[in-house]
Parts: sequence; structure tokens; C-alpha cells
Amino acid sequence: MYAAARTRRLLAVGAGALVLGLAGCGSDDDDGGGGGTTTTGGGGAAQAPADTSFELTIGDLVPLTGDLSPFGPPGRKSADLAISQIEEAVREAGVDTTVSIEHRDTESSPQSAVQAARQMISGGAACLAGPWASSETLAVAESVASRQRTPIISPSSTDAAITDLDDDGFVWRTAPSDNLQSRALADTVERELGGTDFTLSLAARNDAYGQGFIEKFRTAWEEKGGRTTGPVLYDPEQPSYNSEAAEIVAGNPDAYVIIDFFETYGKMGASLVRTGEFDAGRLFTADGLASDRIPDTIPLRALAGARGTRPGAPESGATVEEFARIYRAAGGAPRQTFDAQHFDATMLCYLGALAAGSADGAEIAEQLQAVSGPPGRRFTFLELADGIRAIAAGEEVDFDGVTGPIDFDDNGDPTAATYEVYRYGADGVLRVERQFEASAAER
Amino acid sequence: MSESADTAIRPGRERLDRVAGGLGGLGGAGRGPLLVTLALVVAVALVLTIAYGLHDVAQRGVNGLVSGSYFALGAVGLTLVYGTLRLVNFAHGDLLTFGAYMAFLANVTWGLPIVVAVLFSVVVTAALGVLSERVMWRPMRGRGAGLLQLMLMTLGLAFVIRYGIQMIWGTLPRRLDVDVTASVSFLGLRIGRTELIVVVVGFVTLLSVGLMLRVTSLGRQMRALADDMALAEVTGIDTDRVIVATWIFAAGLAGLAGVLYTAAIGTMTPNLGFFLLLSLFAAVILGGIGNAYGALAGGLLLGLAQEWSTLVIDARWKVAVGFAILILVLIVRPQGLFGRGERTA
Repeated sequence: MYAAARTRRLLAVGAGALVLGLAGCGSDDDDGGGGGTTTTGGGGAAQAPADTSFELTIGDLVPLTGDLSPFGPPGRKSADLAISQIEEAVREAGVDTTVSIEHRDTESSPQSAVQAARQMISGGAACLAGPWASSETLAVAESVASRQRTPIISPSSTDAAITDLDDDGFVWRTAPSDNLQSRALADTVERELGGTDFTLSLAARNDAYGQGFIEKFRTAWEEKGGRTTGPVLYDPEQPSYNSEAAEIVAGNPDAYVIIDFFETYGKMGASLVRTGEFDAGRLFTADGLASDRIPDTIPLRALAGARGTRPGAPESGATVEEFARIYRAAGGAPRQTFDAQHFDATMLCYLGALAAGSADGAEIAEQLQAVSGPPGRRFTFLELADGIRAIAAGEEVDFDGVTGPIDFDDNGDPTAATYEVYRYGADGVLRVERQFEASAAER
Repeated sequence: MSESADTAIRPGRERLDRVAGGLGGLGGAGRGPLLVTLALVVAVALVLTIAYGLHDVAQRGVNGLVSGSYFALGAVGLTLVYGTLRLVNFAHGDLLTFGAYMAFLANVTWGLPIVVAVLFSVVVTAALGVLSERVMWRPMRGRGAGLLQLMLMTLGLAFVIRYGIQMIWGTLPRRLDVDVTASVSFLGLRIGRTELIVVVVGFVTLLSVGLMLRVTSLGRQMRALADDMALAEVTGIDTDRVIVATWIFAAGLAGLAGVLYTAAIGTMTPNLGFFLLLSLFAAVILGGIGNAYGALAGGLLLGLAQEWSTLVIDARWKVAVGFAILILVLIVRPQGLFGRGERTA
């Protein structure tokens, strides 16, 4: 195993040298046209034709095990689908890019994610799609991304803290910030309850996602004039949550808002039901507890009837339907929240590299904002070959993802997002009740 | 202090009880610490009741009793192995995990009733304990391996068990076919039905282990071994047999603890025992290393401290409160609540 890893590294070094040599030929022109800074695409109007003959390795950081393991296999499959779409379009467009992808398990843990990211970068990956958990993304951002000058594009890290990271433009995400989702959830609760004259009991797992989300939610709800109790924040590794559950149901609140992942909620949900006062029909939650159906580790009565929001893809439109079709046709893992976001993230890794004309992390990072948003010719993955030709010809483009227009802002966040309001039926199956657009511009 | 009483009443057993009092129960430490601890717990309960009302304090007390019996049941095997063999067994937590997955195999994969699954898991985990004794600990003892080497080996065994389980069952959470949401209430207090079973089984088991150590001939032999293995061997005790018996008890109880714990909280992952291990050590040290009743008292104290603290401070800090109390107790009594002090005589 050790020998194999070393061989790979040697190969990667060889490939890297090749890329450097080729990039060297075109770099003079690039510097002249592109300006070389992170500022918007506006400055790069007269881009020289991009060099398309490079070998790009995209690193796919997915949580195949641990808390987020339900998201791992669908994520890996989405990344593979993106790569096969790219390969097809690359052939059609007649450019000589070679793209490959390497998957690595982050174990839903920040330490493992950092280790996986380092291994992939030393193995030659120039752009990372992932990681997924906000805690993982924060860790990789701090200790890998800007230090090793490799961009990461997370499909699912919604923690608001990621917006304000001092990351030199190396941290991006296709998932909208919890700033956006917590306000979207507050709007949803208001609409579902028919007003804000209610007391909500708040609770969350004590980590970056749970705590960040619930605090933002509390602010949003209180700004609307509503009342809250809590939040009860609980350590995810505890054996029992009876006392915490008692605090959550105390005082018979009008509704509960609990932000958690499935692994912890199995224990918390059982404790809540045991209080004898819990009614899942009054529970509101978010993307962390959204899945096609309630897993069998969660007591049905802890979640059946609960409502929540999750980032979604626009419901209709050719892009969405085509993505659903190829996803189904590929077999394997079923649809899961953030699968389309991960598809878009992988796609953007390649488009950034193509616009940069190189497989150098720093150069890819400089192009991500420009290819994701206006100005330029809009295209989706359905017209990927046309888009590639346009980029190769040095034109400006605006890639629209399956999940929406993306249009990265200066912090690397998407500027608008679609949210779904879902509800678990008595049979434990998730049904999407409606969709709405939330935009960062509203605030 | 009670030693003199023991001497007066049963002079014949005086020596054995004195030398092996630690493992057997309260003989070594006397009832003083027990009374002081009880008085402190009652005082804290009274203060909390005045501040937060009887119902909340009683309900949190019940919750503390529940998590306390998880800790106690898991800790007793740890303390037995340390008391008898002087082995700090870091693999003990993973024996709990192993027990839980054996029950999963029998209960979910084979579809057997949960009671049968519990028995199966106790037997298989005990067998694993005996196997580890035969393959690892006996040869190592024979070669006079040092404390550090043995400790590192237990750590290694812990990883082997944990990742072995991951290899077969993966890391996805699993559950037993048990209703974790049913609850019973009395006097306005609620406790989960499986939790109640765990508390009852836990108490009965721990008291029986304590009694076994005190009154049966095997128990006396175990205590003799605990005090001085060479001396015990010289006096004609079949040490090998006693050690195997210790492993059957320790590992079997670990298996039982793993199943009951999983049944009560609802889900298991391969990290279950590992995350619990620190609390188990805390219960053992709090009660006095090598003392079966001490493990019970330590576990309960830890559980009560954690749950009562949620009345006063934010629930996410409850773990820190439990361990702060551990530190405080050790500062006052370095040997733990019921441990024997170092003797100079």
C-alpha cells in the first residue's frame, strides 16, 4: 500500500511538471489579459484563448462514514456523474483536457477531512469538491485550503461563519449560508403557524452547524416579534438526553425548532418521546434531518409529522429534469439533499481550471467567481460543450448550476437559493410541500 | 474504623478481609466515606429542591440514576480486571461495543427475542474475554511484561475490536428491536421502560457481584489474588482458574452493559464503548479502584452530578461538571471514595 501511494505521488509529480511546462508557454498572454486578481469577471473582458491541454485531478471529499454517512454515497455518485458529463463534453468540444477524480472519505470528522484533503493535494488534486459538514469545511479552510493554495467548493456547508472566513478566496460553496436558511425557516414557521405570536422552544446539537443555525434563527424569529425559550444546546456524544428533553418540552411551547443530525437525533428523539409531552407535529427542523424517509434508527414518533426546510434545486426546468434523469439512469444511491449542489461544485472545479487554462489551484480559485456569474454568456450543463468552447475561445461565461444561478459573491457564497419546505408523513416518508426562492439581497 | 469492628466480630476472617478488603466492598474503607458522601448528596439535593422545586430535582435525579447505572454497569468489569490482575484495560469499552453488536446479530439479523440475544451476547463476550486472557494476557504475565506494555496491548486490542466491528457492520448507526420510546410514570416522574429495566438489572447485578466477592469461596479467592498473586498461589489457590473466572465475569458484564446501554438509548455505532470509556474510568476511580461497590457508587455519583448540574447551568457543560467533581473528590481522597489508603505498616 505504501509503495502504491508513493508511485501515485511520483506520477503526480510527473504530471505536475508537464502541466507547469505547458502552462509556462501560455502564461505571458494570460497575465496580460486576466489581470490576475480575484475581482469580478468584469476586468477580464479580453481574455486570451485558454490553454486547454492540461491534466486536472479533482479531489472529492465525501462523508462516506460517520454522522453524515447518508449523504456520502449520493455525493460520490453526483461527482462521478459530473465527471462523465465533463468527459463527454470535452470530447465533443475538441479540447485536450484530461479530467480525473479521486474520492476520499472524510468520516464526517474535521480531523479526517483535513488529513484526506492533504493526502489528495499531495496526490495532485488541484481543486476539491467538498467537504460536507461545516465543521469539516472550517477545519480544511483553516489548515489546508489557503495554505496549500487549493480551492475547496463545499456543496453542503451552510454555517454562516464560512462567509466571513479570511480565506484568500480559496473557500467556496454551492450551498447557501445558514444566514439565508435560518431566515427561510423563520419565514416558513411564520407561514405554517399563521403568525408570529407564538413561543418556540429552541434546541440544537452543540457544534458549528447546530449552534450557528439556532442563534441565527432566534434572531430572525425575535425580529419578527416572536418569543423563544432556550436554546438547549446538547453535546452530541452523550448517552442520554432525558434532562435536555425535559427542558425542551417544559412550559408547553407552541412549537419546537430542533437543529440536529440523524445520529444524535436517534437518542434525542427517543428521550423527547419518553417525556410524554412531545408532539412531532409541532416540530420544525432543517436540512440536517431531511432524508427520503425517516431512518429506522429514529423512533417514528420523534419525527413523523415534522416540517422543515432544506436547500433544494428548482423544481422544474430542463436542467433539473435532465439531472434527475441521468441520476436515475446511473443506478445506485437514491437522491439525497445536496446531491445537485455537489454536482455543481465538481462542475465548477473543472470550469475554473479551464478558464485558468491550468491545473494550478491558485489560478483555478481566481476564475471561480467569473465563471459562476455574470457578465458573460449563460450556459448550463446541458450546453456544456458550447460553454467549454466559449471558455477555450477566451469568451466570458456565466455557468448556471442545477441548483440555480449560483453567481458566487465576493465571499464565495451563492447569492440566491431555492428552499424546499418538506414534511414527514405518518408513514415516515418525506414529501416536499412547496418551494420558494430566498435571496441574499433581501436582507 | 470498621476494621476493628470486623476484627472483633469475626476474628477468623480478619486477615483475608483486611488484605483483600478493597475488591470485596466497604471492608477496607469503612462506612465513614459512604456516610459523608450520602450526607453531601442529600445536602445538594435539598439546596436544589429549595431553588428549583421538588419535581424537577426528583426527575433529574431519576435521569441521573439512569445514566449512573449505565456507568456503573460498564465500570464493574473494568474494576474487577484491574483489582485482580492489575491490568488497566483500555479495551473494556470495546468489549461493551462487541456485546452490543453480538446482540444486534442475534436480535436483528437472526430475529431472536431480545432476552435470548442478551444471553447470547453475554456468553460470546465472556468467551472473547477468556480468549484474550489465553492468547494475550497469560503469556504476557508469564514473561513478566511491564505495566506499560500491557496497557498498550489493551489499547491495541481496543482498536482491533472496534475496527473489526466497523469492517463487518460499517459505521452506520444500528438499533436493536426494542421499544425505546415507551415510558412509565409514578408520582409524576417519568422513566423509559427499557431504562427502568437497565436500572433494575444494573443494581441487582452489581449487588450480586459484590455479594459474590464477599461470601463465596470463588469471591474470597479472587480477593486473595487481588492482594498478592504469588502469596495466593502459595496457599494453594488455583490462580489460573480464578483468573479465567474473573475474565468471564468482567467480559460477560461488559457484554451485558453494552446490550442494555444500546437497548436503552436506542442506537449503537462502533464508537459506543470508546466514547463511554472515559466515564467508566471516572466511575472506577471515583469509587476507588478495584472496588465493585465503589464502581456502583462512583457511577451513580457521576450520573447524578451531571444531570443535576443541568438545572443550574447549560446542559452542554454537564460532562465537565461530572469530571470536575471527580477531580475534587480525588483531591480530598486520592484513593477514591471507597478505596484503601496506602499503608505504611
